[in-house]
Amino acid sequence: MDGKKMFRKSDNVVTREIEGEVILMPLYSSSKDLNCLYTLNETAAYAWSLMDGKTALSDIKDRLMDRYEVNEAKLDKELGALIKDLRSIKAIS
Amino acid sequence: MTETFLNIADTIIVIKSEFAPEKETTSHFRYSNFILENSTPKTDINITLKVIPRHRIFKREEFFKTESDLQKRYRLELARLPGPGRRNLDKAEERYFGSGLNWRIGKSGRKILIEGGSAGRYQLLINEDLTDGELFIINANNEWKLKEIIYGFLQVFIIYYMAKRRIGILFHSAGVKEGKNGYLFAGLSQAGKTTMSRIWGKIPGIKILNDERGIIKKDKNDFYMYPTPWHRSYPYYLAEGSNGKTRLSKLFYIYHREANLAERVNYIEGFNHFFKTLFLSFWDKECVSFAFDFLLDILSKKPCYKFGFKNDKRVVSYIRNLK
Repeated sequence: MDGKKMFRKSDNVVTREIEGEVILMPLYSSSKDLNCLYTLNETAAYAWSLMDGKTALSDIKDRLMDRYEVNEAKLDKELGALIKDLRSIKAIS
Repeated sequence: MTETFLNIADTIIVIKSEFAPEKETTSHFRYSNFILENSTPKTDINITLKVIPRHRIFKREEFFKTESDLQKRYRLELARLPGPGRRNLDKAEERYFGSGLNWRIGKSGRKILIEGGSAGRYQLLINEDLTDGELFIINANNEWKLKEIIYGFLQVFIIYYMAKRRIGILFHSAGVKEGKNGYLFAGLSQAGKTTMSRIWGKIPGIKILNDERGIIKKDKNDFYMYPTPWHRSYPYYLAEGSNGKTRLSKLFYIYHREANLAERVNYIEGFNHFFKTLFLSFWDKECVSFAFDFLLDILSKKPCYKFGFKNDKRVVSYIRNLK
C-alpha cells in the first residue's frame, strides 16, 4: 500500500450510520449493475470516516492502530482489502 | 377531450386525451377501484396523453435503464467489509424490479423523460416536479388502453414520484387490515405474500390491501398502508381500492417455515431485512436518502418481526396473540 495515497468518498454514495455500523449504497445507472447494499462494521466505518481526501493512508493506519488492538501485518491486509472493496463499488476515488 | 382520474394512495392523477381508452373486460376489475368515477378539481399529477404512430426522438442525458425485456431480477448483496468481528456475507437474494418491460429514465432539457415498453411503447416527458407532463403512446392504430398505462409507465413513475416528493415508499409486500390494525407482510419473491393474503382473505371481516406491492405514507407522525393496483395472483383485495388507507401496526419480514415463529428484530436487523423489499429510484441520491430515512423512521416507531410461517390458518391466531 502506498501510505501517501489519499482517498475521497464519492458523491454518488448514500450512507447512514446505524448503531455503530455504516450502511452504504452507491447510486446505479443500470439494472445490470445493481448489487446494492453494503454495511461497514465499526472499524471499517472508522476508516471510511477518515477518507476525506486529505488524510494519507498511513495516517489512517496509525489512527486505527491507536484505537484498536491489531498487529500491523493484519491491519495492512484488512485495510488493503477494504480499500479494494470500496474502490470496486466506486465508493471512493 | 376526455379525462380519466386515478387515485393511488391519495395521489390524484388525471389523464387527458383526445379520445377515451379502449374498453377492456377481463382484467379491468383488477384496477377499476383506482379509477375515480367523478372528476375532481384537485389533482396532483396532470398527464396529457397523445397517441402517435412512431416514437419521438428526444435529446437526453440518461440516469438509469433496465437491461432485460422482461421483469429484471437483480441481486441484492449485504456485504460486511473487513475488520475485527467480521461476519460472513449474508446470502445474496433476489427480487423483481417489477417494471414489466424495459424502461429508461433521463433528462431532456429541463424535463424528465421516461421511456419504456417494447420498442419504445410510451414516452413520458414531465416537469422536474413530476406534476405536469405529456405522455406519448406509440400506436399505429390510434388507440390506447388504461391497462397499459397502469401496468406500464405508471408503476415506475409512482415509485419515483413518491420518493422524489418525499411522500412515501413502495414495499414488496402484502397488506392486511383487521379493524384498525394494519399488518405489512414484506418479502422477496416466493416468500409467501400471496399465500399470506389467501389465508387472511378467508377470515370474516378481514380486508386484503394487496398481495404484492403496497405503499406506506406518513401522516401526522404516524404511518399508513395503502393498496396499489400492482398485484400478483390474489384477486379480491381490489374491492378496497384507493379507500384502503390503514394505520400500520406491525411489520413482518416473511419466509416459509415448518412452524410459525415470529422473532422481534432490532433496528439494524430490521433495516437489513426490510431494505431488501423496498422499490428504490437507484439513480437519484435524494430519493435513496429519503427511502433510507423513511424506513429508519418506521423501524424506530413500529414493532418489526422476522416471521417464518406455515401455510395454514393458525397464522392468524399466532399474529393476533403476538405481544
